[in-house]
Amino acid sequence: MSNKVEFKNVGKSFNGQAAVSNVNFLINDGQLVTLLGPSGCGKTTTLRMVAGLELPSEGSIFIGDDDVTRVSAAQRSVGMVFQSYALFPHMTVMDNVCYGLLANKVKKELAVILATEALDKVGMKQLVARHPSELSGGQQQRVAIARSLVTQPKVLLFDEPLSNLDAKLRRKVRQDIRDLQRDIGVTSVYVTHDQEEALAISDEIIVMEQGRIKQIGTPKALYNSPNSRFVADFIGDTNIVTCEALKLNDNGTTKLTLEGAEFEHSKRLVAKESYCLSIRPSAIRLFTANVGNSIKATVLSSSYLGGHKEYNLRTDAGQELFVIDHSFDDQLSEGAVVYATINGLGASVVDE
Amino acid sequence: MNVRLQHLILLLVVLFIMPWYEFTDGFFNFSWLSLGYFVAEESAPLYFQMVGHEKVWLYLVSGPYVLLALANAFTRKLRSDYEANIHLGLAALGLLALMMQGMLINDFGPVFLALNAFLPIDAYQIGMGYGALLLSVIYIYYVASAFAHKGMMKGDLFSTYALFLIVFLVSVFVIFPVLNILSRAFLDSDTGYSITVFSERIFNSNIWGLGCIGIGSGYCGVATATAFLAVMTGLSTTTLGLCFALVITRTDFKWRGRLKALSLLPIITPPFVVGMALIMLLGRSGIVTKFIESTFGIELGGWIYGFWGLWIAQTLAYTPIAFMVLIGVVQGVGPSYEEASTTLNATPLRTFRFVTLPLIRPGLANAFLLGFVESMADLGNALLIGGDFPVLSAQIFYAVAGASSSTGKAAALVVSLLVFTITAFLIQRYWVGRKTYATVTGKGDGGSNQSLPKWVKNVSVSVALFWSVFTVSIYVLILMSGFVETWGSDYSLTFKHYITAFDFNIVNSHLIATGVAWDSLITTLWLALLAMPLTTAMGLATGYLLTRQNFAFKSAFEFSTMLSFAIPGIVIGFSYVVAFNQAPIDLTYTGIIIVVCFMFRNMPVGVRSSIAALKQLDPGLDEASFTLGASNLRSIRTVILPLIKPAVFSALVYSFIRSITSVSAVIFLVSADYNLASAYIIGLVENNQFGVPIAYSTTLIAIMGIAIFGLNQLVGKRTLFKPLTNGAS
Repeated sequence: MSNKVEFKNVGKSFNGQAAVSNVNFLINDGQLVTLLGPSGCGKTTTLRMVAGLELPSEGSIFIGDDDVTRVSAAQRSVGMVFQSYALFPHMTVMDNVCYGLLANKVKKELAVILATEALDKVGMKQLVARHPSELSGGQQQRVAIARSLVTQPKVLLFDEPLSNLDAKLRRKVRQDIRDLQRDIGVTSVYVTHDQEEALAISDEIIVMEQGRIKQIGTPKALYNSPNSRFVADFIGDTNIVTCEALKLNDNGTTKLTLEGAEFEHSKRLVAKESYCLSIRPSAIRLFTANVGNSIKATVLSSSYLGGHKEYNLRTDAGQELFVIDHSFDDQLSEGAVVYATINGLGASVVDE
Repeated sequence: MNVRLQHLILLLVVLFIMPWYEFTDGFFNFSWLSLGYFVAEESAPLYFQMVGHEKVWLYLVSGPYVLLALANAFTRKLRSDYEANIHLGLAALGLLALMMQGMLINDFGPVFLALNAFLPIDAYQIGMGYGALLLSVIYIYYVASAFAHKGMMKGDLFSTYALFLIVFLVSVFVIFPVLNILSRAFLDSDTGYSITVFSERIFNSNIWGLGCIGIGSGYCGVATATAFLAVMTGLSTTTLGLCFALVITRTDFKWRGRLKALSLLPIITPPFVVGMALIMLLGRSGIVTKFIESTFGIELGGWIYGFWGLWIAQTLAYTPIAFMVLIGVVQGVGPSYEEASTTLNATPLRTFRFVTLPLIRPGLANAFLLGFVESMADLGNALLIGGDFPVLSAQIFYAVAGASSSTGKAAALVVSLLVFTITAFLIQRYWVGRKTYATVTGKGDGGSNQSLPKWVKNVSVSVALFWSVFTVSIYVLILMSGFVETWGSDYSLTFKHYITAFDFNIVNSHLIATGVAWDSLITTLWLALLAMPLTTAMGLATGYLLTRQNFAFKSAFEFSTMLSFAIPGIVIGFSYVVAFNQAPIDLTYTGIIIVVCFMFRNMPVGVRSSIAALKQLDPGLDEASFTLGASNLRSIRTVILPLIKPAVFSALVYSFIRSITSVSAVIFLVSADYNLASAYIIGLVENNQFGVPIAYSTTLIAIMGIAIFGLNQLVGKRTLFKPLTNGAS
């Protein structure tokens, strides 16, 4: 049976204040989809509506082919990994993992076998007799995952599961989560405010702002062609600039210019019109000599970050540009005059 | 069991088995259970009342229920909002009919003569009983399940049902009796209800007069005097409480631990015991009085009977309350504020004056208001050593129980008392509550609090020491005086009072209690134990709803459950006597009325402790439990309750203790069959007997001490984390 998750015109308000409005999406069976957005954007409320911890004020929610809009959390067959892990502090690891099985009337002997299996999957088989307070953060999290998996939920939900881990561990755990999810093939919804995390693990990302969906797409699609200033800015760094369309090419692309630096854009636009564009910092290349088809600018500040260098420039027209340089060129010093060219692959038209 | 079948069986029970009227001799008295009970008018079940006894109006009560029960037994489950609305309408109709018929037709027939047109001749009914209670609870269940179906509280039936039940109970047992008593202030037995009667009774120099301070003529009114006493008590308890809190949290004083233990002693002491001890020390024939009179030849007389005695007794009795509020507040002042002040080169005195004190100011206001309200509500001391000093609680008592009893006059006094206590409650809630600085943040603040300025420390330590010596001597006195022949004249040692109180014989291997105290002691313990789990359950359920659920009118709900804090015991007791002595609810002379009174008096304690405990519990825990497929009830039982066990235990024990020590709430409710220890003791002391009351009080203190000690043992050990399975490996 296919375990897709679908929201149809879902809205939720608290005391008359809309937290989420007019949300529509479809998550296909076995996919991992991330809800991404700044705090207060409604992503957690949306996740909690999938779980049944909040009931929507309007619209319908489907899991598989069932309308679960009014079904309580206990009957939805979803697993959830909480930000705080929410392991029961008065129970051992084994009791925690058995809890959902026993609540679903599984015999105790069988429950212990299934729980051991689940704990084995997350590599926590050795510590079954411990209490949560005796585990490290990473271990607690693995137990929390085992606990939510063991009941074989139709959908697995993650509410910012990495936020309590330190930076090094985060990278490893997110890969573990992704591998496990692929391995089991369970439909998953993942909430985070960290765009890098979202890009790394998702099949698709749903970007939200102020209770509304701004854009849905694969990580690549979102990064390369954000449809709005907000999405462009939120996912990665960007420069929002106004460019002019020079002319349409025969192959359906458009030639654009920013202060004389010309570049090709893959979409068909209207010639002689002005457009708002997002240009990624790595799509701008800097030269110390005039290579033509470039913008002359002065370096305002420059930072060295090991793997790359970051520059803030001001063009002669007064436009500020943020540039990331991954090359092995020498670091430019403040006040240096540079010539910037634009790679059209890193530019996309955004609204407003 | 099949759910459909349950609806049917319940229907049969309500219609044909449960006696509809009267808990004639108490809830647990089953003497009605004889073969003829189906027939007898007092005890017949609902169906036989309608068919055999012409109680035709009960068709309106039972009709909707029969429909609902049959619908639930034979039709499909609720699917649409439309169906839920039909169920809701039926249940609401039935519940309304049940309440209205109770109000409209009582022991003397219909309340309005016009109703006679619709009723058989000589229609009347007595107070409701098991059957009516059960049907109310069932109707509320149907209301709740319809609302839950419509999505209330995320469709959670358990919480919805709990909410409606609590609202129902609070309306019936707090709001209804209090409004009822307030309405009596407008009622004159000859002229009926009128505003004039009310204003004559209320705006009256006997109540509000300011003569004693030179405004107007004559004496001070009783409300003025009471307010003065309450302000004084509030000030003294707050000052003492602050000294204690500072000594214990901010000094290295050697006996801190002992001081703390000592300050808790008054909690397990019935408040009137302090008054009793004062009389024995400073009363007309008290030892100190006698000593001074014989040594110095000064005639002291009865100065203690009046304002001074009341003030001292209340200060002694209620300082622990102020202390418990303030110790939390003083501890809550994060060290970093004081450290910041010190690093800015402020002296300790400056830090204390401009940083510490302002931060605890809301706490001081809170402690003051609590002392103020406790003083207002105190009846025991007012009766014992109030003398001629008029206070509202005692005046209400005399207006009800005295020679010239007048419900209207008492009701007017109740109104003035409530004006004070509810105002204090509102100030506490809406002003102090908002002002409170939350200085305890999630992250530990590190560092240690700065030491107190020297003189503050010295003053605090001396005040606390003086107070402790006074308290200790009073308790020693109480303990010793139980073993003395006659206080004031004959100090020879004897066990006679204990024997009089607690003697028993064994006759033919049967235990026969002959002591005078047994009767009331056993009743007290039994009723207090009975009320204990009920109070706690209701408090926990309320706390759960308030912290974990969202629903319309939530703040109104919270307000109403906390309101009984602001209603002095004497008012509750008096309003119960007036409200529940006739149909529809007739509970006079039963133990039920006492248990119910205990429940609603003590419920706020349970609510507060469960709110405090639940707020510290990550809501993710219950949510994790739901998403794992556990029902609400299972989550509460297996996750929440084990984690808030300490709060549960303390709610249990404090409800037990408060039941035993309460005087004012129960003094009108006791009866020959159900006499209570506190009322019994007060009665004896009023007749100037001290031996047995002291022996009895000492025993009560011992019992409550054991209860507290047991609680500490249980909670202190924290054997809470017992594993469910022993681990597979």
